[in-house]
Amino acid sequence: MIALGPLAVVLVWLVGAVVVGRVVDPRQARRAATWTASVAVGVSAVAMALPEAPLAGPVSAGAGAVGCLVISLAGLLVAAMSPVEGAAPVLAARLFAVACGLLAFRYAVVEAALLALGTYLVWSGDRLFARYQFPGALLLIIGAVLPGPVGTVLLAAGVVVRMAAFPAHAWFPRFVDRTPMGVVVAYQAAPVVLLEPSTVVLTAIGAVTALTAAVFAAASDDGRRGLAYLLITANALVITGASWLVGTLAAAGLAMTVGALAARRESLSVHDGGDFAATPRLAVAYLVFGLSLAGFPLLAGFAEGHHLPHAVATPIAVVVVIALSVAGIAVLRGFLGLFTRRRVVDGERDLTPLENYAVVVTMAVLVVVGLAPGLLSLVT
Amino acid sequence: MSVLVVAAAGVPLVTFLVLAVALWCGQGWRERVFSGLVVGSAALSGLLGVALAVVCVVDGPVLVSLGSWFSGFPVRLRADWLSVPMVVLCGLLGCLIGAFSQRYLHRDPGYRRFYLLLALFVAAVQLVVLAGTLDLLVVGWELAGLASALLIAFFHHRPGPVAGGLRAFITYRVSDIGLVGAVVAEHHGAGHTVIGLLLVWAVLGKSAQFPLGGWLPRAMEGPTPSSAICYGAISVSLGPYLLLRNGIGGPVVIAVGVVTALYATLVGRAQTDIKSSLAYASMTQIALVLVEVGLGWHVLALVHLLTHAVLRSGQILRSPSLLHDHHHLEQSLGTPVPDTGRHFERVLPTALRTWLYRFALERGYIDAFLVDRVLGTLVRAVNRAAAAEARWTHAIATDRQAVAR
Repeated sequence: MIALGPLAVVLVWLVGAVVVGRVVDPRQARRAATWTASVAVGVSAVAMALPEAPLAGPVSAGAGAVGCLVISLAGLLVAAMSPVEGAAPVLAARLFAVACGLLAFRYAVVEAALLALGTYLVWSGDRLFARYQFPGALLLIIGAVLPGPVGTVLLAAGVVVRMAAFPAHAWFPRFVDRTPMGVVVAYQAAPVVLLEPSTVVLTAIGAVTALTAAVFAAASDDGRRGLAYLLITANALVITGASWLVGTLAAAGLAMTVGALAARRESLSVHDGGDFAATPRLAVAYLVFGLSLAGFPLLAGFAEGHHLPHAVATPIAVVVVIALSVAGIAVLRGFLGLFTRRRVVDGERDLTPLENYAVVVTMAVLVVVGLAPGLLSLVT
Repeated sequence: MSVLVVAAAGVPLVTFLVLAVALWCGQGWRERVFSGLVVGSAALSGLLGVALAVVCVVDGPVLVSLGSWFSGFPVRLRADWLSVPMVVLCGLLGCLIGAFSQRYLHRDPGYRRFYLLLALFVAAVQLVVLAGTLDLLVVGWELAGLASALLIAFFHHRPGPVAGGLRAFITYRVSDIGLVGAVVAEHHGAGHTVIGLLLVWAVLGKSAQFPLGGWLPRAMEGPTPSSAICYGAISVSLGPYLLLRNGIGGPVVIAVGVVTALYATLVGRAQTDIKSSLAYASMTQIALVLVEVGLGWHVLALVHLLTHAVLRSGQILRSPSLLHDHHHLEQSLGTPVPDTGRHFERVLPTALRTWLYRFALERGYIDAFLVDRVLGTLVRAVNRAAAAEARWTHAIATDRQAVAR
């Protein structure tokens, strides 16, 4: 199926990438990227009003528009919260176009090819990344082409590698550590789960990954490494069956909050601390995005956190419940470790107006969906 | 009547949401306006509880079904002999603490943050006590835990309160696995015994029972008013309430209560500061309430819970004036205040008393065992594994540019 609404969003992102690429001044480029993301959010919102039923043959207007809205909101966070230097806004815009393309062309082979394209775009020469991600992309393409159980197994293996599930996760912490945060978020925003075959083994791998990564995140003393493990937890919960919409948005918010913090200070060690009084909005944004990821009440992740253990077998449900609980501990440890115990005298800055704009829009979506989770099922 | 029930739970929640939006938007409302809204909403919630009490006496329990929040999540509220006294207590104590803190925290930089968290706490507790299903109870339970932890860490420039807040939150989350697990078990059709055991696990953390009670004395690092409402009165009382609401009792509950009561009364006697001493006293009394719950003496347990909450929050609010009060007491008596615990000297041999004193000073070695041996071992093992993984990935990941050079 080809969806016209998501296709329009893809075009917005591609045009935006060209426009942003032509702006020389990095501050102006960031502003242009934010405009692009805002337009993409607007087009996605309009596309949501279009009918999802096929218009003619395999062509639909509104199918996948909610996914595009979430991806574009993640793009808005990336555009507005990336630091001026080393942000790679053009690459991020292209990756968001690829992510929306997955929703525009609902053919397994095309989706696998687009994921491979995203992998190629992101590759910066890191051998570890190549060793994991290119074979993963190949597995997805072959899995999408081959019919029957062999194809299913290959697809499942490709999903495990692409989403950094255990035991194919080792590339991810280094990837988060060495890549601009906006690129990490854009790479993560691609809905790989659309290709995920429904198998018990994959669900079990997702649950075990979620728990293990949450434990590693809770024990980590470094904010960036802890974030990497929390993102693996979010991915793993999606593999287990949680909504990728909420997971993507919460993870993007958390990642960009950490990215914004990293741009303000040298160390992200939880032992060094920070000053809540100096950066209250940044701290609250970290907490809200993180708790949403951990399925806290009144936030968008709660309904998923409630549904998921009920929808799977009892042993997997037990693991998921513990994983969500430990993820909550990791988030609060990160919050207290990064934003308390220090009086900042060097003028660490709270959210800028541009950052505030993106955070408010995204948090409002998470809170509204958290207060009225029925909205999500209504629009999907 | 359903309006009364919904309003009793909803007014503090709406207040919290309004204040949260206002604070984010940088609304510079005056201290009096900000705190007045919280005090007013808590008072209104408590008064609605009084009205509900009248309705319950006249018409019997009120059950309100509000449909589904989302698919598979029924929203039902219940006002009966058990929940209404707790609604009144929480509302009026929230009002009292709010009024007290207007002077106590006057011009504190975190004044508005305190009232925001107080509003969240009151809203969460009202949701817990009025919840008609375990699913809905989880919502309030988790929010109350978060509000408590953030209130403990209120003085965020000092490491002690922050560590205390984190420890309380970790304990809450570990024990919340029991509550969420009970909800899942209920949906999976598990038996009453399994659900009961999971709920008892949830109570161990929330009500600071043995062996998970180490967070309670450290929670006193928070502002005195929040200590009074959270750890003297309401928060620790939610555990027995959960068991009363779900009809859980029996030997396991009695055993937890007896062991905790003995442990806490012993350790509490060796504490050298008043707030720690009061924390262990709270632990002891809640443990006795659990014994009553386990024995099936539900009305006695509820009365004990309510009276203890009122007395203990009063004691904690007065605790900063302890020396002053002690002087007054001695002047009134005309002699020094007599020591308590003399019976230990009569009953126990000296050698055992020395051992018990050391045991009490070290808090029964439970904290050291749980933190250093159990949690510390796990964290060290995980960090070693993470470091080994980082070394391995570093070894196999060589940049293409580096190879080219």
